[in-house]
Amino acid sequence: MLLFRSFKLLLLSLFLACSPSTSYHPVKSDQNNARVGGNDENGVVGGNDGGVSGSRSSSPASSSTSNGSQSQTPQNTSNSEDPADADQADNGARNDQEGNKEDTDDKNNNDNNDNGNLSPVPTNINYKAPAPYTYPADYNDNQNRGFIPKRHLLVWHETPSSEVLINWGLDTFDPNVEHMVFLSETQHNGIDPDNNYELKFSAAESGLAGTCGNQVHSNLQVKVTGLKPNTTYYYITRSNGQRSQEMHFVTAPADTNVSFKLLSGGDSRTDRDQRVVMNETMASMASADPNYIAIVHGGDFIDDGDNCGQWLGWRDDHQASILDNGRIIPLVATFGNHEEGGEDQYRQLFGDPLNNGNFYFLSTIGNLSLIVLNSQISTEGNQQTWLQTTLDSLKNKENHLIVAGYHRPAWPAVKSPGSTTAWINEFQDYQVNLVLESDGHTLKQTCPIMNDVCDPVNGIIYVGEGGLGVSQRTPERADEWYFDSNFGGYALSQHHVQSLSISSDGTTPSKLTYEVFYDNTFNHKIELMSKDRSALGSN
Amino acid sequence: MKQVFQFENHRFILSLMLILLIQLIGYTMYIDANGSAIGKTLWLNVKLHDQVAYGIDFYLALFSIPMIILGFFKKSPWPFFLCFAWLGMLSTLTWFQGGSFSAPYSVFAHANRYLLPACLAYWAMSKNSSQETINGIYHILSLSMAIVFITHGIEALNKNPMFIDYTLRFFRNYSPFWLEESHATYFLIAVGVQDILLALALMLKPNKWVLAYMAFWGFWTALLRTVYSPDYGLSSTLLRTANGGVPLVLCLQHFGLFGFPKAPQNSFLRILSKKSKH
Repeated sequence: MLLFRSFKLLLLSLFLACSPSTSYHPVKSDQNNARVGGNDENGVVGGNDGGVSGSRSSSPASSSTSNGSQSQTPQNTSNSEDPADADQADNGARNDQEGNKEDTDDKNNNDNNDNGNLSPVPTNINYKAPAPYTYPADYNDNQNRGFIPKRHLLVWHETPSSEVLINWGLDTFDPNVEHMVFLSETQHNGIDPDNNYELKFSAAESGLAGTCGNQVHSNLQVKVTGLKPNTTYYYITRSNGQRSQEMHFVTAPADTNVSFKLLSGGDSRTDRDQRVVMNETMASMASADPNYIAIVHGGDFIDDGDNCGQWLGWRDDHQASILDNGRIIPLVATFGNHEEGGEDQYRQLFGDPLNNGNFYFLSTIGNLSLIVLNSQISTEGNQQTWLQTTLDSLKNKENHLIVAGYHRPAWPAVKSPGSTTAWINEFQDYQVNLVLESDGHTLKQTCPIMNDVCDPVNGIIYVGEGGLGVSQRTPERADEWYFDSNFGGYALSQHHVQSLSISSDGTTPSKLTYEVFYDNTFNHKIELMSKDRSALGSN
Repeated sequence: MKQVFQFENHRFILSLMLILLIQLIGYTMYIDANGSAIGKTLWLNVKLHDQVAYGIDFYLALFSIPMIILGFFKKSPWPFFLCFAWLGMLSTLTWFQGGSFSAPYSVFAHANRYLLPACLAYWAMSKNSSQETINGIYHILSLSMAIVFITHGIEALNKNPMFIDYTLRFFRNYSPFWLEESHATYFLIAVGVQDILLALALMLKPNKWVLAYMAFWGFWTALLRTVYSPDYGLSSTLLRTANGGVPLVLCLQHFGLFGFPKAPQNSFLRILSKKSKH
């Protein structure tokens, strides 16, 4: 062991001495390139053949002209409010993706069907891309810069089909100023919000306001309720009369017969450049496929949860995940170990779904139950009881998919297992479909695990472990039995974004397709079916 | 070897040496499996390749073992000073890197781990193992134990989630009682108060029964790591050997057993107050 280590270290030192760079930048490319299925020079959806690029020209939240006015140039040509047109645009995006896939067939033997094309994806997300609109120069008052809304963030909790937590930031804070959010199912481009938008909500400073370094900042927040499921909402925020550009998002489906996709990943805590690249990658993926409706973040957003400067940086970098046409992909947040000590800041930004300071909750999205757990509090006390109760309440749902997510891995690719091993029995007993883990800074997929052996029939697959920015580690435990490649296991050092595609018609077994996006393509595809759990757990 | 035989009666020093050795073996095993804050700093902050960083991390731990053995037989203080610096840096960087409930407490919670080699360096610097030297070591170690117990007491009062899980798993698996989280939280309040009271008692007036209980509690809480995780907890138990080992050695001094030198009569605080009066 010692000799082996010495030899490995010597080889590595020689390699490093000859190598100009050792960091991974799998998705970085030239600054002017577009994204997956991105737009060509004429703005045609799917005009790009280069796959995911690491850079975008600008996000709508950050683009501004020299005179202070903001401009937005949505790039979908089928920017119609007619859902049929939007569907057409969606198909265009997918067709282009198929084209891209053909270029990378040799890399992805698993991804294609017999015809060499991607399996068809249901288009059940009701996404209405906005029509192109350029904001007038006097849209915002350049002299009142501090009140121009920025640092947009949407967060999903338990019922994202009807609720969303809307955040935005200001470079100032005045408690006497009115802060409002206006929402509509119709695009209004921020014009006359008091009369044009059907929904109005007052927002309040969430508690983050203060001076960080020399920078005054604040975070306005409101939980918007009463929304319609699977609906595109356009919204603006207004602080002291200063309006944001019109942003939009899609609420989660409530019906079990809606298919959709989620992005997932964790550990964006260090290396801001790479964090931005990964956010841009996610924006590109969502731009190419409007069925992506949320990002599930596995925790470790920043390095020090108590550091206001790092949170400001994260909020700034998060803007890179906003699509060029103003679409914001809401976030489902998981508490990580580097959020320790910053519980207040975490709550002030992402909210507290169960209002108990524990940050674990069940989010219901169509036919998927997403169980978000907190590995940084007791795993065997109230949280385990809640997990058992929650899983038991889901067991009679037919054709239902269950995904659990938390930060510290139970089946790690590096380091020893966390206290989350306490939940393994629950996942097995209730046949959870997939478990998302983070923290290790690697890309991994275990074999299907049941009672400490690989069991392809009843085993649970654990995937992870955090590649949204932080430097990636060498997976020292790659030779553990649970990474048996004969059962689909692997562990790599690779920045990545995970994709979860839920196909469901509500009557036949639902399908969860899991893939990992890196090197400009989808990799490691697995398909998992819903299970009959009625006889499982406590009876 | 000649040097050692001069101190053969001082099983006190030999015992401390043994505790340090077991602690370093635990550290080496732990770092081999998990890495440490030093490796993490070299990787994330110094930007070394992760395998180079964690390789340095591991070899620092591994080389510390023969280094202190050499220091003991040669009666040289430098290996012990290097060990003190390394363990002190480890605790400081654990605080710096954060990422766990206990990280902010690490500099104080690990006081006995890095002050133990400092005491052995003090011994190696002394020309002979006089009672004054032994007394000095006694006071430094008892102070370190008081700091460790107070810090762990505060962690318990602040509901360290790992302490809650250790409590729950132990009672549920090895006792007829089924504890809920609320019960474990109350239990931790009692433990926290107990730890702080023990530390204060040690500082005010050294007492063999207080030290005996501290030894039991230190060994037991270290052993809980293995009880909690039989597959991965052994290294965590071993690197906490000083938590029980140091009070045990101090306790044996009070009892005057096994040829251990007599413990000083005055407490550390009393000596300080006398010095300040003078």
